[in-house]
Amino acid sequence: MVGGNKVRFQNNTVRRSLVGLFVVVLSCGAAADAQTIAEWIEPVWDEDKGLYTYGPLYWDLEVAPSSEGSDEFGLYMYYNRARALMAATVSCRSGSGDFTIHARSFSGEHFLSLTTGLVPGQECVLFLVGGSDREERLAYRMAVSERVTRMTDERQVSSARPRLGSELGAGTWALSSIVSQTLQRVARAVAKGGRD
Amino acid sequence: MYRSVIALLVVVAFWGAAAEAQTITGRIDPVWDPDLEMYTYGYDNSLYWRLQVAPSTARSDELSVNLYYNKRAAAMAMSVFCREDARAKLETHALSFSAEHFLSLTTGLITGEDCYLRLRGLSDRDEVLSYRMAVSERVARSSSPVGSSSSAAVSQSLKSMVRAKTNGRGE
Repeated sequence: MVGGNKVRFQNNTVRRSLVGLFVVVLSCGAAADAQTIAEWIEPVWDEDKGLYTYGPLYWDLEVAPSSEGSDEFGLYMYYNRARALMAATVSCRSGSGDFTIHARSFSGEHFLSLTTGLVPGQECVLFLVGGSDREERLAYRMAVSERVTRMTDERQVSSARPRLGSELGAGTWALSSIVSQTLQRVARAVAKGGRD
Repeated sequence: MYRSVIALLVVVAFWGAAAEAQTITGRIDPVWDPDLEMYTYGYDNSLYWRLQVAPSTARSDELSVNLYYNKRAAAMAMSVFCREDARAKLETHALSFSAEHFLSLTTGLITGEDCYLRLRGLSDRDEVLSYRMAVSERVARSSSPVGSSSSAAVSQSLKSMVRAKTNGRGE
C-alpha cells in the first residue's frame, strides 16, 4: 500500500511536471496566436447539488469557415485551488440545430487541458464550470487561442431567446442542459473527493 | 502553429512518461458503412479499452492519451465513457476529435467509476489506418461492448470533418 502510494506520488509528479512544461511551451511557443486569460471566480453555493460552484463562464470560439479543410483548438489552464474540480467543454452546432458536446475534459489536480479538432463552419461555445466543497475564491490562468472571445453576458435562455429568436432558443436549451450535465459530474466527483 | 506544438507535446509525452506509460500500436481495416456513406474505423466496437480507475477512497485520478494516426483523409474521435457501477448507464465523460494526425485527450476521472476508452473514426477513402498510442499502463483491451447515447452526434461530427477535408483538398 505504501509502495503503491509512492508510485502514484511519483507518477503525479511526472505528470504535473509535464503539464507544467506544456503550459510553458505553449505560453512562449504559441505567443503569435495565443492569449493568456487570467481571472478570479467567486464561488456560488448550489443548494441542490450541495457544493460551491464556479461559473459557468462562456466564450465564443471563432471557428474556421466551412471552406477550410480543418480546424483545431487547444486550451491549457492552471487553477489554484486544490479542492476544486474544473471542467472545460466545447459545445458546437451546425446552423440552428441543437448544441451537442463536442469535446470535454475534467481536472481535479490544478491543470486542465483540452485539445480537439473542430468542424469548420460550425458555431462553437467554450464553457468552464467547476465545483468545490470549500468556499474559496478561485484564480485561473488559461493559455488559449486568440480566436476565443469572452461573451459579454452569460448565454442564458431567458435573455437569448427574445434576442436571437426561437430557433436559437431551442439550441440554447440544449446548451443549458449540457452545462447542467457537466456540473452534475463535477458534483459527483466533489462528493467522492470529500471522503478523505 | 498548434500542429507543431502538439507534435512537440507528443514527443515529450512519449519520452517523459515512459516510466509509467505503454505504447499501443495497431492497424485498422476500414469497413464501409452504407448509412454513413463512409469507411469506418472501430465502429464494430473493436477499438475500446477498459480503464483501471483509482478506487473511490482515492481523492482524484487522471488519464492522458496521445495518439498519432497515419491517414490524413481520416477523422478520429476518442471518448471516455464512465458509469458509477456496472449496472448504471454509461455516460460520455470526456471527448476529443482530430482531423490532423494527432489526437490527444487528458482528463481527470471520477474515482471508483467504471470507465472505458473508445477510439473510432471515419474516412472517405478505403485505406488501412495505423496508429500509435501512448497511454497509461492501467489501460487494458476490453472484450465487452460499450456504447453511448452520443454516438450519433460523434458520427455526425466525424463525417463533417472528413467532408471538410475533402473540400479543402479541392476534390
